[in-house]
Amino acid sequence: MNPSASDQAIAVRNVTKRYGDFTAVNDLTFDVQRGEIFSMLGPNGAGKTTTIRMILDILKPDTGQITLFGSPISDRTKERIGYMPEERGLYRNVPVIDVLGYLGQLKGMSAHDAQTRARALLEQLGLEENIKSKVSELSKGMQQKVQVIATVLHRPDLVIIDEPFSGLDPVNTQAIKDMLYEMNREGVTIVMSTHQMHQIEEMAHRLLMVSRGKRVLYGNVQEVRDRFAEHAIIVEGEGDWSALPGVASVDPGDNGREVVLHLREGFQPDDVMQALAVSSEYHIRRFELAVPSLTEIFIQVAGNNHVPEQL
Amino acid sequence: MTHWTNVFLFELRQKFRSKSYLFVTFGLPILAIVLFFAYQAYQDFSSEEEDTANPITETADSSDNVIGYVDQTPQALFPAPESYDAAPEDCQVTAASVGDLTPDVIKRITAPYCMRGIVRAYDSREAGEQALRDGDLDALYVIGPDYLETGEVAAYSEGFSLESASTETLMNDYLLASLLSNVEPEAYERLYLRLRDPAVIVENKLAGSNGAETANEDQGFALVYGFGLLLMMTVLWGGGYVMQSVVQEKESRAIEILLSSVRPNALLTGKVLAMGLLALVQMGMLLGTFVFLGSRAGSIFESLGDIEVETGTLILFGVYFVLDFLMIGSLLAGVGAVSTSVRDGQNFVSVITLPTVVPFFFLTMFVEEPNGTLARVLSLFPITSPLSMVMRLSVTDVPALDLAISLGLLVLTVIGALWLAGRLFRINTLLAGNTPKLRDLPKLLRG
Repeated sequence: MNPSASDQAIAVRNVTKRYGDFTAVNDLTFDVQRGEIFSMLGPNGAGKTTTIRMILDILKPDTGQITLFGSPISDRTKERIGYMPEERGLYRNVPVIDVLGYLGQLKGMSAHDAQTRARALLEQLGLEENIKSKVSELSKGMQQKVQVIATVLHRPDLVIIDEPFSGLDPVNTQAIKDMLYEMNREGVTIVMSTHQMHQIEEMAHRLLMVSRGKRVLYGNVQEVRDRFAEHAIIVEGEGDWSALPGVASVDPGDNGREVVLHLREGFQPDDVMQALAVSSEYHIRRFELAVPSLTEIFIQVAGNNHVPEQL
Repeated sequence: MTHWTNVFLFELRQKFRSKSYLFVTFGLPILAIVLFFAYQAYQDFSSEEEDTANPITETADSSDNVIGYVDQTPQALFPAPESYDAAPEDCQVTAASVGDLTPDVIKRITAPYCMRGIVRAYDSREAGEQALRDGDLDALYVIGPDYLETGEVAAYSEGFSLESASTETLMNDYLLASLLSNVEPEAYERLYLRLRDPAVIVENKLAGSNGAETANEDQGFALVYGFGLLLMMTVLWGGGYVMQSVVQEKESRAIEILLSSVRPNALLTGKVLAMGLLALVQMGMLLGTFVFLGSRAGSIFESLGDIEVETGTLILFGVYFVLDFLMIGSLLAGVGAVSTSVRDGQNFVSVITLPTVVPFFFLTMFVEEPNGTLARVLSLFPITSPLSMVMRLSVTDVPALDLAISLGLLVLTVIGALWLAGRLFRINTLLAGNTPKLRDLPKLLRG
């Protein structure tokens, strides 16, 4: 399917960026649809941050074209974007409310609106006591919350977060995830970039995998995982697994408790489940399809000799 | 409101909250004024006390030096101060006597009698030398027997001391007052004042020559120095603030968020203008305090009272100030963009600022030959032109062609500097961890 330009929050076409002899981004093409959670995956140095900086017009691409909401980036489009860079940072010796007011104004808000909304969000995240504190006086967790407020203060249509969970404890990680889900439900497009693939496996609708500046995988997350799914199931429990109909071979699993049952051609996981359901000789604690994690998929496609995926 | 105005106002607010800025801009002047008036009050108080305790010893000359002399002239031309027919009250200098300096008053307060205590007569050279050795005197003068023919007076001192070196005027004043002691007050006033300072030299240059036609050298020097210093210090301070502000945004890692909202040139413009204004306020306060206290002290500023600067010249000062600040501020912002710390940036600062202050090394030349070849070259070359042209404009009329070329080149340089800094602003985000080498810059500028 080829979505129309009006459906696209971001359209990147054949973008290349070089630093001297080093090619940071190499002929990259992808779209981000409005209202989706989109994830850019890849190891450190893959070109994710450079791509984001080009989307935000901080850097100019050498070749290629980028449009946002159907047109090239302008000051007006910048006001529709909330950006949280990987290198978190705010003015350290300035009161929280002033920093947020300033950043809100730079996004086109009036001084009054920016301050009012900042106060409301600070109260919502339990920072009402720290409105006039300097950023340097806050704990790291509190600073992260202020950073998040700075990103969403102006009610952006598109939020871009580079390494969203970097340096966060599990509680704050969940808090950020909840906030992103909430915003997405309200129609905000969310783009996340990370090298910690397991963190966003459950969140993203679609993904882009990059390695050494090139696209290696792109598409719907579930479709990608299904495409890389083995013809196998993982079970935990007791019984003679090799005696089950359709099981070609049995391998011990990674954790010592589970086993991987490889299926013969023509047999489906449902067949095995039915056989288990009618037999009293098996005790089952866990039954699931052997779908590789995104990390495993990435290693498969972006290993040393990978060939970039063609659209 | 455009983005640069937001940046401008934010930077102003932040700096006005900075304790160090407030202290230097307002604290130091207040402190200086308080200390000045406290010292003045203390001086007034102690002199009043002294007057009450020992009114007789007060003399017209408040010097701490004490000199001795031996009069060997056959006519005994120089009697001891105490031998004159006068009373201690004659030497009292009151507000009334200062305000009403009639010939009588002048003769009375400059009379030899009033120098008693600081000028002592000795009967013999041996007695005088003994007093010098005992430390009672700073210098001893022996007026030879053939003084009338030769005017020769031998001076003696214990080694070299600043006191003995500065006693010569005292001896001259005493000899002059003694020689004129029998002259009528009107003639005394004329002779005493003229002989004491026989020539007040006013330098003039022939019309059409290379220079100001009737420039008062002191005033010219003060103007060149004053305006030059104001421009130079303001630009250097403000430029330093810009660099500091950029580096701090890099260190605190706020720069990337800003650049996602604001174009580099808007960020740069807001910063440069805010810091320029802040530096001007700071420099104006400090210079204003200095001039105010100087005028209160009634010292070197007396001769500046009648200085007049034309409005057109003042407007040109303003134009050069703004352009100079945009040029240096942008370049230093660029330095900030590629530096990882303020200290790191300081290494680059002198490379940019040193050439801008070169005209100051030729201060005398700007006063004497403001339209000379070197002054013209320096005022056309963009890096040195603002300071040079301001120094030239303060003492002479600069040909319109010189001004046009100088301003044209400067405007082009400012545009180049803003572009350069804008490029470095984009690039700097990628270089948070290290400072690029000079040879890498062309590559970085290409982006």
